[in-house]
Amino acid sequence: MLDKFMVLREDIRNVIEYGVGKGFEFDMRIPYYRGVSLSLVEDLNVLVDGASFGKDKLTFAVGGLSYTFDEMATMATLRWEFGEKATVFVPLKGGIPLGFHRIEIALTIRISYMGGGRTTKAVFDQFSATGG
Amino acid sequence: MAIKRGVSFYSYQEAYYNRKYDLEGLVKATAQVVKAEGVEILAEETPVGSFPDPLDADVERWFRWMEKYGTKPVCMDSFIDYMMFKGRFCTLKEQVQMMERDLKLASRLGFSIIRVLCPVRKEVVEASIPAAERYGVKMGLEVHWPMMLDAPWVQDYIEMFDRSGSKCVGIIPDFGIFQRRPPRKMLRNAVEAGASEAAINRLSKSFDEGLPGGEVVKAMEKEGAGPAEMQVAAAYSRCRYNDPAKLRDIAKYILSFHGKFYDMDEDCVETSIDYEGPIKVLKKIGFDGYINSEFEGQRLYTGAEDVDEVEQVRRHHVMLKALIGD
Repeated sequence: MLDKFMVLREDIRNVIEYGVGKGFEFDMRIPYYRGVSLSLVEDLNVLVDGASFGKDKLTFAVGGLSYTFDEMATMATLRWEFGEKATVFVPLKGGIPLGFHRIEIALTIRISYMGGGRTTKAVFDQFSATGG
Repeated sequence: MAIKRGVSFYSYQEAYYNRKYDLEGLVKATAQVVKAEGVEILAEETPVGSFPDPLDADVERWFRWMEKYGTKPVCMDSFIDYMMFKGRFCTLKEQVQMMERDLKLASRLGFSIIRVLCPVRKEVVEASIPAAERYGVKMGLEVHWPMMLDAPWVQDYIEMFDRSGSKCVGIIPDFGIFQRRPPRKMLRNAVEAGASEAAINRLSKSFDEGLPGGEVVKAMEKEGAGPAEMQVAAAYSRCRYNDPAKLRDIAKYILSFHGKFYDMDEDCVETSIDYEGPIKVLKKIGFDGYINSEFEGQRLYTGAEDVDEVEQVRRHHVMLKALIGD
């Protein structure tokens, strides 16, 4: 059951530059049993206390380079390998504020074998110690 | 010649994903813990070097492992992502190019068979025959649950095989088509999730008696069973059991087998799938290809509990060895 490993709690962190919270990022691994071309990463949605960040706002970094989802849609030869960590950046001014917050992540991979998209969700009630 | 034993590394997916083993570690465990010879990989799951074009050095290292551990490449599983781009399906030509990519990789890695998944259209397989012959690699179509061995879909493929006259096409049946009942682990999970033990024992008895799935579900509904019990009853009604004797009809097309299994108990008995019946038939018809274990019980470990995939595969091979008699 790989779904439970998609995002690990300890892999969610604020991104702070020069003392200013620019947002937060998390590492994620594919919840499917093989690696895929980036064009098959169909959708990603992140909710922070109910506020939605769609894929047009997110970037996805894998193999040391960062992409927008528009760019990934045509990338058939670049891959996200099985077990490999990708890093998703969520632009949220100030980062996740201090205290407990609910973070919900939904990833959809297009799986030809199943005839379409399969969505996997992960939900965290996360304590942020570095917000602000 | 006897039936040969191998392992699909799909079986070890969590161990690899969580970096308990790397690819060499899996080859070593297959040889030294499981004591099996055959190796099957999903090239996009546990790649040799990088998919689809490993460096020559990666390929050389791969063959060194095979020699060092006394293992043999048997089958490579192929994925034809016909939905590669949003909004359109890949054309026939694009799909044949993907097949050719996989045939070429298989030939570089010493695999003489690739496993083709059932959603791949017959036209794609047929149009890939010249490439398969060029690379000397066979394309084996999976016959997987809930497919029946005598389904028209299988017959259509066989007609195409005969028409082509090619030796590079065949069938890879999956032991999931011989499932009699839900795995024991699923029953135990249901009890943990609040199912009544008495109801689960009653269900278990109906499975042993081979009552039709529909009847079991209806009886449970009538009893007012809760969701945890109903889930098990529904899983039972989804089981498909093919008569193993039907393997005789397709014997000459069989390239290898996927030894699907979900739950090996302490006595090395699979708790849901019949192995004895099909292996008896395979011995009679003189099948001397590989049965490659495919453990798929990971999804029954939903909580914090870890699954010991290598131990499950080891037990599977104790059973296979005894049934094959090697």
